Amino acid sequence: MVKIRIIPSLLLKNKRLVKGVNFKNHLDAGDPLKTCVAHQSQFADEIILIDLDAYEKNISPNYNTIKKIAEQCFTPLTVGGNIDSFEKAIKVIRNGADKILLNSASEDKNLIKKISAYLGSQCVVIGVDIINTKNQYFIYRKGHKLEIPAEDYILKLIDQDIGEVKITFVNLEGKKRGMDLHFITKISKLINLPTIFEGGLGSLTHIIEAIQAGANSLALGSMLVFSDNNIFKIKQEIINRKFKTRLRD
Amino acid sequence: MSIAIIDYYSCNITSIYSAVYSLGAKVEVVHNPKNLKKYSKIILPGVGAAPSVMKNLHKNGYIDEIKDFNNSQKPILGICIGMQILFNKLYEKGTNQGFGFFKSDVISLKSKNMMRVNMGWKEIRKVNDLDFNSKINKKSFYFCHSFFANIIGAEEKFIKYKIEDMPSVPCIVSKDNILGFQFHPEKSQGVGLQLLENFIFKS
Repeated sequence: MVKIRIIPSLLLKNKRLVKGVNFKNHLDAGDPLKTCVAHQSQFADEIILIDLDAYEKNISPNYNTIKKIAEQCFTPLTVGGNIDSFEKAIKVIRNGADKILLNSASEDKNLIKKISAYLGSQCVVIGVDIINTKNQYFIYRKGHKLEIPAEDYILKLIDQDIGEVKITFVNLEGKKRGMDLHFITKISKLINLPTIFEGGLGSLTHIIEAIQAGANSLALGSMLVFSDNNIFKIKQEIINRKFKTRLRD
Repeated sequence: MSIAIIDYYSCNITSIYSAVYSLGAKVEVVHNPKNLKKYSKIILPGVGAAPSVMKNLHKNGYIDEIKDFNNSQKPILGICIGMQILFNKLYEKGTNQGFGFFKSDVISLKSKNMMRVNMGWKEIRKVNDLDFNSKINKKSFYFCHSFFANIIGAEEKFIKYKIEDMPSVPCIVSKDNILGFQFHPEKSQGVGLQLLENFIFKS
């Protein structure tokens, strides 16, 4: 049985972490380095860091913050944030990330090819934001729903030279009402790559439900920020429910 | 005693440097192959695709220098792709010639009907004794790779640990002065740092 990965998903803005609801209304959520070290001490399996400033101001991700984290936090780190060029991807890795998260740039097949050819495909994670309208799933990008069915998009995506897919349920994000279990089950059967799901988790029950539906890697935002939950408690629950996860070395 | 980390530009250089430095070692990232002989150990770090890593080592004149270093019997540690290039042929995006310190080849997980990418924490299981006696049997380490060293036949004795639930994938190999980790010790938290510490101070 695969070990379930529990992955804090952190948003960076003005050198601080923030958290919002439905990608909006950001509140301060702590210091990036201290938060990463705290998650590490609770056996976070990886950390995802997304630089919001990079998207909003159309600049490079904050390499200095990545470096500071990598200098003190020996936990796998995936970084996203307007990585739209080969040069940015290399710099993110050299500063200590292990994987890069591409989102809007993922339309550029040549860029994906070029990055994979240099860093290896295992390094490239593609973020797919999906939105559910009347039980139909579409791709969501830059604040808009696109008329692209999510399933078709994902099936084409996994044929490319990439290492992992991260699926975010946009309309569930920050709501703490649980994930879209139907979609998890459906898509997990179709994808032959590691897949991380994010959006909607608010309780231990939601986590177990998502795992039972077929997810084996979960990214957590709000659940770890504005609540009394922590990774240790989550992992203990996973073990109690007879799934596997790493709780100590 | 000082350790050289070889930089082929695709690697997560900050992470490996910081991990080794945090353990109290004298460590430098080298950019000139001619300086290699003054170090007592070298680390070939992880992250990168085989063609770009080998091309970079050729272009910057590292091939003969690393072979000389190996001939001097000083310790070499390869991590992930840094381990894979110590093998013979690498079948990642075409065919590339590795250092050939091991005669086995590096092939894709997919070609042996395993998952395309091995991502995440995996328990490792002891096959043969490692020189330094670490308490790592059944501990979990972080893996992120699509290719592996397909060691069969006479070289199987060099496999020290393999992945518990992927028994055809060796994850610690060693032969004389050479040590290779398929996982990332610099990203495997406490247990990973402990292994690095063993390489630095006990090998």
